[in-house]
Formats: sequence, C-alpha cells, structure tokens
Amino acid sequence: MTGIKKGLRLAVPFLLMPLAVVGSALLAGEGLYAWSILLMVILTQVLFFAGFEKRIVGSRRLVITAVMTALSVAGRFVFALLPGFKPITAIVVITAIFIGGETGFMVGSLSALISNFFAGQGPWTPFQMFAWGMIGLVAGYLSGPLKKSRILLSLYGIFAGVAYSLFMDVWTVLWYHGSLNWGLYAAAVATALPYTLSYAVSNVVFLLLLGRPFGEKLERVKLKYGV
Amino acid sequence: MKSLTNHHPGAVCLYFLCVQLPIVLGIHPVIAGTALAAGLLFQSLTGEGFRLRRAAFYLILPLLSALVNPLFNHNGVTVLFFLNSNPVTGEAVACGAVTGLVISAALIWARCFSDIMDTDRLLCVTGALSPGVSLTLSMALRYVPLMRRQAGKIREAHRAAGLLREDNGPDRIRSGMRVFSGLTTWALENGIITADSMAARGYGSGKRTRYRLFPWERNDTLLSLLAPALAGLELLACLQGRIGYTWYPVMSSPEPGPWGLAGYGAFALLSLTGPALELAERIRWRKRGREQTWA
Repeated sequence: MTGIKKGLRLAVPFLLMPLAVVGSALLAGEGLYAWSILLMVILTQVLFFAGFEKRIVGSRRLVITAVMTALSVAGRFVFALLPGFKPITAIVVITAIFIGGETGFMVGSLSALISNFFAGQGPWTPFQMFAWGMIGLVAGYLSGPLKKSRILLSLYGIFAGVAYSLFMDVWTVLWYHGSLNWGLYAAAVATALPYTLSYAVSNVVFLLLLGRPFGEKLERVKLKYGV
Repeated sequence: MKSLTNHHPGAVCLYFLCVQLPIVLGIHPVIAGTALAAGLLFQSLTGEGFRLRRAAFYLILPLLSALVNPLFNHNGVTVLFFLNSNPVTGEAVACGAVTGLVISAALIWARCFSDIMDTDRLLCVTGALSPGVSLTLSMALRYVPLMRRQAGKIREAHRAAGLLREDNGPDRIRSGMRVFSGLTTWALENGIITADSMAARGYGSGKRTRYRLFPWERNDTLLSLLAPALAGLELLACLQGRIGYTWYPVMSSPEPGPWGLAGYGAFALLSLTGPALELAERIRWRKRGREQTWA
C-alpha cells in the first residue's frame, strides 16, 4: 500500500506533468499552448493540495507549515534594506530538508501566493507557486546529502536560483508569443541575467547563513514537541 | 440586483474566467479592443479608481509589442524595409500590436479580479476546495503582519543593545540575520502554542462546518448561468469560423454573418456586465444617500 502511495507521489510531478505538457503541445494549437500549460500547472497544484489535505494529522504540522510560509514572506520585510535579497527560496529548501519534501512544496507554493498579495497577483502566480513548490519538493528528496554537506547545499542554492529564473522565462515567452520561440527565449534569458545572478547569490548566502541555525531550531521543535 | 463585488466569490470567479477565455484564445483586434475598453471602465469603478499612469501603461504595451514582434517574426507579404537583411513586414507589426492589446486586456482583467477578490473571498473559494490548505493559508496570512510587528520589536531591542549596525552591506545582512533568527524562534514557539490551543479546542476531532461569510443568492445563480452562456456563444462563433483572424501571410478575417455578430454582441455584453453592475450599485448608493439626507 505504501509502495503504491510512494509511486504515485513520484509519478505526479515527474511523469504526469511532462506528459501533460508534451501532450498539450501536440494537441493544442499555437495560441492555446500557454493556456494549456497554465491549466496543467494549476491542476498539479490542486493534486498536491488534495494530498496535503489527506495527510495532515493533528494541528502541529499544519501550524508549522503556516509559520514557515509566513516567515519566508516576512523575510522580505526584514531584509527590505537590501533590494533583491529575499530568503524565500532558502526557507523553502530548509523546511523541505528538515521537515519533508511535501511540506516544502506547500511552503514554497503558498509563499509565492501570499508574497504576491504584496507584490501583485497575475497570470504568473501559478507559475511561481509551481516553481517554488518544485524547488521544495526536490530538496526534500535530496534531504540526506543536503543536510550533510554545505557545498552541496550551496550548489543546490545556485541550481534553484538559475532553474527558477529559466522557468519563469519560459512563462514570459509563452505568455507573449503563445508558443516557445527560441530567439525570444534567448532574449528573455539574457535580459533576466542580472536577476538570475542575484537569485543565485542571495540563495547561497541565505542557505549558508540560515541553514545551520534554522536546522537546529526545527530539530529542536521536532524533538521537544514531537511534530 | 447587487454589485459584482457583493456576489458570491464562486460566481465572481466564474464570471472572470468566462471573460478571460475569449480574450486569450485568439489574437483578435475587436475582441481585445472591447475587452480593454470594458476593462479600463471596470478598473475605474473598482479598486483605486482611474489612474492615468496605469492606463497609459496598458496603452503603451501594444506599441512596444508592435516594435518587438517584427524583430523575431518575418512572416507576411508586405515588406516595409529590411533590418540586418531580415524583412520587417506590416503583418508582423500589426500582429505584434494586437498581441500587445490582448496582453493588456488580460492583465487589466486580472487586475480587476485581484481588486475584487480580497483574502476573505479567496479563502471562501479555497475553503470549499480544501479546508486544510485554506486554514494554512489563512493562518499564514495572519502571521505575516504579526511577524512584521515582532521583527520591529526585536530590531528595537537589538538597537538598544548595540547589536544593530546598518552602515554597509555585510553589516546589514548580519544584523538582519540576527533579527530574523530571533523572529524564527519566537514564531515557532508561538506556533506550537497555537497548535496546542487548537488541539485543546477539538481541532481535528470530527467533521467541521464552515462559517459562511457570503450567501449564495438568486443573483449569483443568474450570473453563473448568464456568463458561461455568453462566453459559450462567442466561442461557438469562433468554432464555426465566424470570429477569427488570420495574420500570415496576408491579414484577413472571415465575413461575420449572423453568428459572428451574435458572438461579438455576446462578448460585449459579457465584458460590460461587470462594470454595469458596479455602476448601477454606485448610482443606487448615491440616490439612497440623498434620500437619507433629506429625510
């Protein structure tokens, strides 16, 4: 039974998503491509939320998810003096490593949603939710090595920053052009380069500075209250 | 009759979905133009009211798009001039302008949507889909201002203790981290207390009911029947090939005929329903106010 569940949990993000994306690329006309992908992204999230709904037992897990989400958003204001320096990714990754990939997905996804209440909602919200959710989910799968090595943690921070930026550029091009035009994509990636760099750098700084103290705090709460 | 803002959030979501679909499913000048005009009207009635700078942004976007599209798209037969031995065609310029129009229209309707759907309404919709996620979201939303306030207190304490230095980048990061670390410890402990308090009051011990902030009334049923019907009529006309626009190689649009005209009319009616409801509410409010002062 647990085997099937685990299989499903892996199949949804890594098999169903790509299949749906390729399928919609083949079936839908050019203009529909961006919208079918948007729909897929929303559906995947709904699936995850449904899974989360089933698995919350007791109130502590739920509250910790809410607290970590709020912390990642509140971090924006704590570091308001340093523009472009936001701890969201780092907190999502740390939560995923120490509590679990699915909680990481929820924290990432909800952080994007809430953070956009302050920064502005739009058709890009589902994409950001998905991108940050996946960063958390993947970090959860890699929790063993990431917990042990600070070098791997920094590398993951760089990877998350670059992947996030590249993914959001896909959305920019789809949104503008209706389908993926490589010339436009290259232009979008080039214009976003300073942002990509600042994401990667701030992720590494935050992960290195926050990783150990946050890990200790979460471990302590887990040990003391048995979450 | 009640304003769109006072409709049930579910009906509001359905209405916005029905407007967005025809806008984004094709690059069509008439549909995009209607949607943009209605959207600007709607925007001036809800939210912060009419803002010239924001309206200008939505009108500049098509211009920008008209300039950018020919750089990447060389289809079309009307060659205007050559740029780096690539043809710049009139079709690509026109298509770029209308694409920009579509994006502006979709953005302005998204903006109206987020003006109307405040957090209470969002939670009402997500709560129906998933109470657990909705509760998490609601708690996190409540924590954000609480944490901002607590972060302010911690910052003041650190300043008094001489720990806070914000002269240069590294110092700012270090001081920020220290504040953030204190905030985290406080937030986690506070969270556990909340969780225990919830458990003590019986959270998770049985099936829960919801407190309904927004009642579902006859108007909501009416709106959720009307909106899909109008959008459906427009999409049907598209499927019949009566509403559509071919950009390359030569710009052309089909003869609309009765189906096409009905489709355009349906979409205009649909996109004006929201602003009209809002306007009617405003007029009624004014009238009621005047009667009250005289009475």
